[in-house]
Amino acid sequence: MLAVRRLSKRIDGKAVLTDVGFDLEEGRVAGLVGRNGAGKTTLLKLMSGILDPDDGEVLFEGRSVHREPEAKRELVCIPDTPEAWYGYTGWGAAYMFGQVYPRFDAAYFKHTMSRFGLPIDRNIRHFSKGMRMMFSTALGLSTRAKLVLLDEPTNGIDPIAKKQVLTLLMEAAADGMSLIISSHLLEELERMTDTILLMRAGTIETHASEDVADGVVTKLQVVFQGEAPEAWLRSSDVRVLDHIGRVYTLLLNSAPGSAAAAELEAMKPLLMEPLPVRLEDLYVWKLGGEPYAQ
Amino acid sequence: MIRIDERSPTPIYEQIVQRFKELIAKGALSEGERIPSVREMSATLLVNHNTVAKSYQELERQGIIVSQRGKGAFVAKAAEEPGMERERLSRLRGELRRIAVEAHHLGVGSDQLKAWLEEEIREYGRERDAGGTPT
Repeated sequence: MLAVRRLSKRIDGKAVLTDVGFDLEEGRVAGLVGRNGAGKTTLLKLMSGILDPDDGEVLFEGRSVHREPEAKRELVCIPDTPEAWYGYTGWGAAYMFGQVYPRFDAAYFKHTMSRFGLPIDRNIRHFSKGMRMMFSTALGLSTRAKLVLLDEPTNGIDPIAKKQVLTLLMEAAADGMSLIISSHLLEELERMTDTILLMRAGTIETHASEDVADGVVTKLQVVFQGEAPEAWLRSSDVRVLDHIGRVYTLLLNSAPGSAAAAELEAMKPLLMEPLPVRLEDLYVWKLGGEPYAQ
Repeated sequence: MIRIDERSPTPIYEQIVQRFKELIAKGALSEGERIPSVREMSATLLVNHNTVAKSYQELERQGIIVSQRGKGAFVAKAAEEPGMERERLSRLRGELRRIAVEAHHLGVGSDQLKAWLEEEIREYGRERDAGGTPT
């Protein structure tokens, strides 16, 4: 349904995206993850036709969203703040979107606004942050576009608003809508999505959410015999997540060609217990930095 | 109704299967009762609808629920006789052995272990075998 091909974009002379490519099938829920500044927002803006690429193309059902504006009626981007709607009421925004999106569902919009207790005739500017995000999400889903792109839909909103926004997204997905959700909520994304798009240094990798690190990395709890092998622990195929006393939690490169697992086995550790690998572990493995506090 | 344990190594779809089986064993869901749709469950748990659908397929395969086209899924009649599914029975025996071994190493005596087992049986168990005698 969506095909992103060799997409490149420079902003102020700096390469933000380099040769980005991936496919998304209809009905998929994809999580877009990456460090701040990795280019997630730029990618979403390029996919929805808000920005033009320097190179490459975005095809929606075979049509370029940049050369054929008609294709854009089937996808909508929900930005992280609805600044464009300041000065409008819910009704005003619905009227405007009704003009653009052929299947705009005003009844769904009205129903969702009242379900969340959002006044439909008040200026969006006067909404709280959580209300703004619920409004944006409701408006975006009301377009009944086939693909909805969301830029950090839960950023900075309270837990109740967050749950409500995510509930709306899961309902829409079950109804067959395709979603790409940019977020740092790794636990939630891992459960909610079927595909993970991981951005690193302006490029993208695709992983299946189920068994997210299969064939990439394994996680183990290890107790070594005697002294810990410091040099080995610092090698590029190993990352120490933490160690408490003699118990080490490690990520090991399990890609073909890595000898890390065999090397560890040869050291005959006293304990070597596999742990489930979560999206957070893949994220740490791929994007470096310190693991998040538990 | 159903809770997901994020930290558990058990896959989410298996957790959903397990929780439903517990609710039914406990009587919180009874025969013929409608269970939430995939859409409702997905939105409540914030779990991908394909994962929920996979759990429901597994529950249906095990004869725990039956789905009726256009009407939803319902709690099925309890097993007519034990031993229909040898694989699941032998896995159950294996789990009991694992528990006995674990209790041994924790220094839990057999009276205490039996008392705990009886407590769980009072909560979730059934009076007697379905149908005739167990195999």
